[in-house]
Amino acid sequence: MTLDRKIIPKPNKQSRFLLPKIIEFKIGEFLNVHFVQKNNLPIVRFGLISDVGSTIDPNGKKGLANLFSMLIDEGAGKFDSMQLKEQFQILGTNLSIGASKDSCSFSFLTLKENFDRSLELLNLILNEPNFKEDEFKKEKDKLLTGIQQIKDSPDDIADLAFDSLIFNNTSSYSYPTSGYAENVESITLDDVKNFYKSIFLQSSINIVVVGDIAKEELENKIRKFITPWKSTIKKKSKNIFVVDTKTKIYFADKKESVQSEIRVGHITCKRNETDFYSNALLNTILGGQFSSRINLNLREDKGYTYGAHSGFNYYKNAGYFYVTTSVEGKFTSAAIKEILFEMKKIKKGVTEEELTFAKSSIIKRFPLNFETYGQIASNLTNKIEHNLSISYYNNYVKNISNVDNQMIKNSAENFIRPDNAVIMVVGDKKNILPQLEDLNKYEVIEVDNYGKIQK
Amino acid sequence: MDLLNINYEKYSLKNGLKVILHQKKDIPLVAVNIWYKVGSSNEVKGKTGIAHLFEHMMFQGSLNVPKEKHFKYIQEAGGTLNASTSFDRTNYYEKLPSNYLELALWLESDRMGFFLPALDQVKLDNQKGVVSNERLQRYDNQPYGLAWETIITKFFPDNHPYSWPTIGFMDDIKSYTLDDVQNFFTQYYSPSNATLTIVGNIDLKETKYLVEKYFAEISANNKIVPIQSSAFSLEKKITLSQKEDVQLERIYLALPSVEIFNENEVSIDILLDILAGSKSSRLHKKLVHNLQIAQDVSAFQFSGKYGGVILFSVTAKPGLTTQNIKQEILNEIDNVNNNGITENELLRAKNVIKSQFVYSLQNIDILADQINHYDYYLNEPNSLAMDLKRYADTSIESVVNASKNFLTKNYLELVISPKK
Repeated sequence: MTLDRKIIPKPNKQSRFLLPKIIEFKIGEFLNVHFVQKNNLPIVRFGLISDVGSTIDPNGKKGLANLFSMLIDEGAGKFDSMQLKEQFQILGTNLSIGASKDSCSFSFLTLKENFDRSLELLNLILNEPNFKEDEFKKEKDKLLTGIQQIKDSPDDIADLAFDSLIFNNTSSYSYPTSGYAENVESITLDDVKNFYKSIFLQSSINIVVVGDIAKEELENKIRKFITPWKSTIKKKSKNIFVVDTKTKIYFADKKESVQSEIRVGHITCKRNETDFYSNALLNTILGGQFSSRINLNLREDKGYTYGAHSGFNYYKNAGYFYVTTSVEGKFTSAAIKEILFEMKKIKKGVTEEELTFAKSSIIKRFPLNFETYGQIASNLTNKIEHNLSISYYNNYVKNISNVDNQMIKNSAENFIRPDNAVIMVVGDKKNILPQLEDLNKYEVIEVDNYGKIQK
Repeated sequence: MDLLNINYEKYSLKNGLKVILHQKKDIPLVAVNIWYKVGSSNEVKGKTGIAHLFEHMMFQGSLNVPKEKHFKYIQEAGGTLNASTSFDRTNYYEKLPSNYLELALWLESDRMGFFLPALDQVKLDNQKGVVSNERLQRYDNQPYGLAWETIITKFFPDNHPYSWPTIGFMDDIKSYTLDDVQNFFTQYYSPSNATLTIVGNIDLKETKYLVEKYFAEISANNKIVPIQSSAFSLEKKITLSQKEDVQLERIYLALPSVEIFNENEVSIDILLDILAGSKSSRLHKKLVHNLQIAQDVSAFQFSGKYGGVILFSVTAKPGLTTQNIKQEILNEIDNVNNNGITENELLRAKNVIKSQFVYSLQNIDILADQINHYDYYLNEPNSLAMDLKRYADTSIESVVNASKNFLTKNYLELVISPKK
């Protein structure tokens, strides 16, 4: 019997996927725990998230939250910086600490047998950081050097400048979490200590645990090892709205760059339940996947780039749409035209076939997002950050299925705005700037590495 | 650890295709992973990068799968997919809901057996553009991005299979013709030169039936030229320097290492971990933390079928050169040779490695690739426990010996310094 290879195989009957059960509970007044028990490996993923991030950095001290997150584990209790790192290493526990725009987080993955000791050490860091002057100087110097190195990477420059420009260089989201060099220079150890005492230790805390542990046992361990603190800061949530400006091109020079880094986008709105699902489907069709329109056009048809994609990015109080790619210098102008073409075209609607593809892809992929301990933890973190309901993941597939073509069209109309976009380009000025000058008659404005307009 | 014991079934089809099946039913997913025994080490100078370019061409469609559809079908089924090329091998993989296993096998078999009829000039030109841009994006346009290429070109002997970069030189990438691509396929893309590993929520009997159904009729077509390579050492020190548009000076030191699964491989790994593998490692402590003359420190070992390299890399603080740094590295190596390492250092390194073995079991696609890795180099898929045991059994003495035997030889030094 010969096989007819023209026939695309049909799937078997779908195996049942059991969504991990999310359990939420409080310990005392201030610790909110979000927990999934997962027993297939003897490991525990633990995360503690404070709701203060770099958006809270005061003017003139941009970079403070980040520097705090770099310094807090450089010595705690009786351990100096190196001893503390050795303590984690002997457990095989990777502790990672970081500040983002909306949060500071502390997380580790550990073997179950080392969970107690890892928790104990983390608690030491949270409650008895040494904050020594010499360690402060070292971390500050490391950060300043890191900031200096941004100049080397056109992709980093493009990201930072774009982030700033879409927020009009003025919102709390427009500042880089890593800070500005002049600002970081002026940060003192007292600034960090004050941040710790009057901001971090007043912030509200969520704990995310995915692991091979029962709820009662986990609760006891958290009670035993983690000293909670009072959350007193009532944060005002201020939503950031769209400012309508005409599309402009912003250009930062990176001499002898052999490619141009391109970002195109604009603010949308913060994440909400009404548009989220149709935006997700819209983006899957437009640029979220390899088989989306933008990548097929720029890569698979034109060969301008190794890859191009788009997305909706959501902060706590703002959101934006972006397209990102890097192309060989001579294709810069042509690539921007194609991106804008795709943004305009999708406003005319999508085909039923495209919508079916996008739904199928997102819905059937759902179980893949719950494979690792880290993936489940990041789903829980997402739920916390955007204040989603506990049944969010239970209803996810249904909500995606309910989106129809008209909802996609509305999403495209409201949230894809090629005429109000920031086009950020980083490349070799002498070769690239002339190409941009006659592109759709857009104004071209030269900016520095942070998107600040050059006079 | 029982956890690391992998039950598997391994067999071959009549055409030589090796098949390895491992059932893992905790989540309804399946990983399909094929290793072809061809990498950039099968290339020759003047024709570099074709193994990788070819990997791209495998996504351009085959007789029954139109261009762009390979990605589309898998993504429509909720799956993820990719491929990668290294010195020693090329892998192709999908992870998708387990009820779509047949789809993945259909796609993989179509390009294994029926690739050539769908090949054309337009697709080749397109992917030459894409790969050129991949090279620009990932190497030419990255700070210090050409260091690896500069090092291996001079470090390995002329015509050693690792003496050119897998991505290929730009002129070579641009030179490829349809004939080159066709010949490459005919020579290396045969079922007898591949291993198909399937891991996940599978029924063994049904999976065997499907593998037979899609792969058995593909004919073997093997004209593989064996690679010539022999052990080597550096006869003298090699010193290279170049100016780049970077802020900080960086030094690389490269030393000859061993082939993969050589008895010295893990002692060297642990040694490098103790020297530079973490923030509490010796060189990090000394150069970054205490002396504050470096911004970052790293060291790793690459070991492949035809040899290996140990590579240190340290970036100096602004305004400083790397001459002191180099001396400090050499002093620290002397220190290990004369005074040894501590029990605690060894234990820390071992514990970190042990945890990583367990963490790595979280993804079925990583596991499938690891199974293929072990089968390729050791002809035994169930080698995780043995591999970990190599590390657990390493003694202080063998780590110190590794230092004496491998870190005191002639080295290649590359310094990349700022233009102004």
